[in-house]
Amino acid sequence: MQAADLHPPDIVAELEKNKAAYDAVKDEMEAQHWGRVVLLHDGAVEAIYNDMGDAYDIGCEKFGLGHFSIYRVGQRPVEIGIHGMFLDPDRLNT
Amino acid sequence: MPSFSQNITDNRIIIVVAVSEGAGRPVTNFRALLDTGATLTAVSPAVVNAVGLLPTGTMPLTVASGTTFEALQYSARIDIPIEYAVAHKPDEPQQFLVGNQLVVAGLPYQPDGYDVILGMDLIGTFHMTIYRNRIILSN
Repeated sequence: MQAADLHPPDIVAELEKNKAAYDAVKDEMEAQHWGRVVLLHDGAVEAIYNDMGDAYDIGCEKFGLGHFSIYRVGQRPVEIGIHGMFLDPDRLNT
Repeated sequence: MPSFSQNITDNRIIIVVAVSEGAGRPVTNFRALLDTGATLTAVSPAVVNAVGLLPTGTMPLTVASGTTFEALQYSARIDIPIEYAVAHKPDEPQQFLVGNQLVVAGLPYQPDGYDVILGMDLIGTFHMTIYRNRIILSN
């Protein structure tokens, strides 16, 4: 199930722009802001916060849900347990 | 203190959870699997559609084979309505085991028999006892 199967095109486009923008500055962020939370909108970094909840609340207030992205700097891969072992890798990519 | 217990069937702990966008927003109930091997809570596409969740980014997700992928990331509130496990009088207020606003991963598939994997980010906030094929949960 990919993002385009679940969400409107404008939401997916915002997600992809922000993902590309974060990937471009990821190394710099990890060097300077490890553990903090980056708020992105329209393919640009808007602000950096200490708390995921703050970044989410401010993103909702300023841009509306679905029109921003938040990334925790240095986020390690998340384990979802034994129930994810049969996932098809191709279907996981957004 | 809110608390409930229920039998464990088929060697899986499946409970009812109330999912919403956030506090005060409409809730929808789903079946959830308690998985102490999951570090994070994850929701199925059915939850995303029913609750109207919108993505807040992506997150790296590792499956048991060791492969890492990018999964959609959402923010959702998850509580446990205990009326489903404990009989109460109709005039009593609805009770919940108080959950939390969580960053959750979007599952790329529809699991069979449940819609939410409750990970240690939420399980760890409760007092949980497993004893003689019963589970007891409380805040």
